[in-house]
Amino acid sequence: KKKRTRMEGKNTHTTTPIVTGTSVLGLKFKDGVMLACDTQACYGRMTRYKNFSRIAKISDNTAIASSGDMSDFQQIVKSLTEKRIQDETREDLTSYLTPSDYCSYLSTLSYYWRMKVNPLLNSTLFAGFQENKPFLGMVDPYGTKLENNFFATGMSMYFCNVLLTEKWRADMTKQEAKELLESCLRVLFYRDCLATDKIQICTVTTEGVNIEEPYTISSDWDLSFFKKWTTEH
Amino acid sequence: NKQISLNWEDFQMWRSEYDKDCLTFSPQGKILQIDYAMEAVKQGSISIGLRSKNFGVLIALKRSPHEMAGHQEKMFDIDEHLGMSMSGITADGRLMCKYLRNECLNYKFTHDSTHPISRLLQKLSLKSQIKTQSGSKRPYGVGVLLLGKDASGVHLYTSMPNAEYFEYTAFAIGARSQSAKTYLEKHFENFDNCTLEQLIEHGLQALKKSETEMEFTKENVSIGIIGDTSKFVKLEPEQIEPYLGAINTEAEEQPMQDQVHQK
Repeated sequence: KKKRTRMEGKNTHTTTPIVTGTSVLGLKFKDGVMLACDTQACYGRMTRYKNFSRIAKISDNTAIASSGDMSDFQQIVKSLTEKRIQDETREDLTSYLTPSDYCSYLSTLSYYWRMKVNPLLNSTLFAGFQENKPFLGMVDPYGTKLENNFFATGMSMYFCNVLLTEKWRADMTKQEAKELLESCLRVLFYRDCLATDKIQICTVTTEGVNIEEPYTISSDWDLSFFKKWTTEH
Repeated sequence: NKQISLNWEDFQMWRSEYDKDCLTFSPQGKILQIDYAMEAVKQGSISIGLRSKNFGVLIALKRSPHEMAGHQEKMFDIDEHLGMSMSGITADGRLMCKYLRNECLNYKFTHDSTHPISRLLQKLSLKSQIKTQSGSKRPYGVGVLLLGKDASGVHLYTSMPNAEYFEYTAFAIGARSQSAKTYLEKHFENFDNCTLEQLIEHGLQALKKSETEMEFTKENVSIGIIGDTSKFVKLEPEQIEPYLGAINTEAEEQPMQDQVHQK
């Protein structure tokens, strides 16, 4: 894909991402919402940053995770944080913005930039708790806003939607949810070039947002398929 | 042909050196132009607002300039969760309504949810304040009662030309509003126990207190309601008529029974 440049003033519109993160997964479980992704940012096909957090806390009841261009992700975090600060620092000292408000706001922004052919090259998942109910929403680079019980963005769309559809239940415990997401990320580690096995999980419950420390998931390379592949083929 | 002559002495009595613009304080610490703007609200016909936790009612008395003319509308819906009634210079009020509607629409477009009411009041009061601190501007000449509903229930706010806004359980603004306020003060502690119907009746009784001699018709009374599950709605004239019987009776007025004392 060629990088499109326009000669009008200093504007350079980009339709290709530069430093990218791969898939993000999210699902609702019994007590809340969980987001999971790996901690890697790639520069094209090169593994450039091995300790890059692609999950961010926006407010006490909202967290986001993004796949796609990471500079746009950082910009999104700035915009949403600015929005939260404006919301919290009014004279009534009350916070009115809900996770779905943030999600709608980003979808409006995303659509705006897309119509200028300078899109925010991210698929962002919003995890939150509002009115005592869990909320899981997604905004894509076109500005589409969706809400669902589980999401898989990027490469995981092709590999993990089947796993999630089969295994997801509304009454999953936190441990079951974590195991399901780990198994999805494991499949991605096996199959997606840009994915890694060092992952990070974020849980949003009534108690708030908890972004855990990254950890390495197990993977089994001791399969005859891999052994045979290298020796016999 | 009687010539009305403006006496210099009469003129001197009302003239004040401190009321030329919004930039001048009087020795008493008042900005007289803002006080005069508050007077303009008192010249407008009455608006009454009252609420319980889950229901709210706005009542307005409309004026007609001439018997051949219609009545001036002063109650408008702003968004599905918000409505307003004004007293004072209605032209200013309509502009305010347009601004509020625009803000709510923009918020809806960006966030896909309704504008928090106190935030909207903050925006409105900022706009009002700018007009009270300039040599070339005048304050709004209209007071506004805003009735709205959000996640924490129904709220009634008032916004005045001096750019102050307050939340009330019940309030009245406009001509002879003090009598209506007196009635509301007597009964407001009971409003949380009232049904929507009872709130409307209370509001109309308060209206009756302020204009004891007037005949209330479906043309000159506006009623707006907001409820638990309903959005802000202005009642149709046909829906208003049944309520007016109670306040149009020539007979001795029955005092409103409070819920606590009823069986």
